[in-house]
Amino acid sequence: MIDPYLRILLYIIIVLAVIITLLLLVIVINRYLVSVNKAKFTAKKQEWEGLYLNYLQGDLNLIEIAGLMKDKKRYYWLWRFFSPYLDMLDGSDFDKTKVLCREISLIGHYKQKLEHGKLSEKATAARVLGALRCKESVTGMISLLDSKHQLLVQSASLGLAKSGKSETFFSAARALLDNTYFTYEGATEILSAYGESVAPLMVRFLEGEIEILNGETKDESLEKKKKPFELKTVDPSAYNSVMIDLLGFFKYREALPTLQGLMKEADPETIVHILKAFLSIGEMPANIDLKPYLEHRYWVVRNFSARAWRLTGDRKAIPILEKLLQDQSWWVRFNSAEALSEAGESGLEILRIKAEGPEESAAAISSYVLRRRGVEL
Amino acid sequence: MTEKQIILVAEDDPGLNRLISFKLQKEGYQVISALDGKEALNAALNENVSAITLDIMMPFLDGIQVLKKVRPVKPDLPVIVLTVKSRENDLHQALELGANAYMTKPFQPEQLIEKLKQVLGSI
Repeated sequence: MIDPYLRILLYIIIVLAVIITLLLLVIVINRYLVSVNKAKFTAKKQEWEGLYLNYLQGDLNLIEIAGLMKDKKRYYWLWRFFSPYLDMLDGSDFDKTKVLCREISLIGHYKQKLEHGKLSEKATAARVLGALRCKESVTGMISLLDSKHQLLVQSASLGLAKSGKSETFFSAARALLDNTYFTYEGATEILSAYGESVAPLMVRFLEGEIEILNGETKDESLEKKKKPFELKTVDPSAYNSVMIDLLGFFKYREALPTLQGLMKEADPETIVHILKAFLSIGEMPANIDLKPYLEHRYWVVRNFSARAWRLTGDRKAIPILEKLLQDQSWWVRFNSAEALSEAGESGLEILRIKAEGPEESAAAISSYVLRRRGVEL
Repeated sequence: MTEKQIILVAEDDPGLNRLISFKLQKEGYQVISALDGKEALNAALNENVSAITLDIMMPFLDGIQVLKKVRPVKPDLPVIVLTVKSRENDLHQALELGANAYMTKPFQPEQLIEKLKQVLGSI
């Protein structure tokens, strides 16, 4: 007789072995199917590519190629095939591709999915129709911006951005910030697909913001302009910050005066975004006074001001940078020392003196930066 | 018989690479394709190329790094850089490094060919 405990143990071992074997089998089969599918798609892609290039060159006409490419079972593959071309092409080649996508019913299929598809189908449809710049689907995409599903909001925003409809920018920005958990960086990444054409719109919006900060808000058109920004969940400064980041991303020099105007009354977080934008643009307004920011109570503002100092090279700020070598934040000390190291011989002399001086933090950071620069003490 | 000019197409998207190459071949150029920065650098330095169309965003070595390494060796080689609209800021750096011209995606391949003819001095 087998001990009953031993028997239970044996059963458990057998059951576990079966489960593990089944799991392994599922993984192996799944990998096999994925690789088979991938190989089929690659073969199909190569076949389509030859046809497509000949079509663009005029060696095949629309009816001929549509007859060869139309594949009702493989709309998703067709989309994956066309996707890089749609992102990269413009002019007559783009137009010919769009006509072909309409002819093989790719557009019709995804229009239907945008309205009646499942969640993931709607998301794909928004991306496809956006990439194909289907203006007639913009309303459908906008309606997805208020969805409670992040995937739909993200896809609709991206679709709208690619559709080339700049006027939808504010709605997409609002939706990304209000209806999703995207960080500033995530929202900025998606909204950057609108391209630089939205930069003047953002500048106009931020100028309205300055008027509000200055108490000059009684302009009705301005109130109307700000209507898409009725807030739900996030701090109002989040909108400003995303736009400031985008202006920096586009290196939009024309925004410099607006950013300077906004900086005077902005909260510390917004000031940091503005300083970062100056760094991205690689320029600062010539008449800017960095002193209040180098002496700001918030260390991140002091840090980015020290970094941005090199854009102006303002000699009047050198005594403040010298003082910041004793700042409580290592980053502020480091960037101040870096700035001084770029301030010519007088800056280097300050660092040499500090490196030998009695103030411990200043001495340590000065020696460190001088060594990094290969300067002898 | 005049020899065909060799154009290096450095573009990591295989579809777009083949499309540009196809159009250039139809225009009578010989094409060398590179799908990443390392391949591009190798071809640019070791092949007798007449011009490069250089995508900025590429794996292993980006277009900027390729340009940095090619320029000291081949200062007169015409280079057209390509980048997406949202990364136009990279273009300033590329032009400072000695790129002869640029195009932002999306673009018309015909415009690229036009630009190529200009930098090659054939129009």
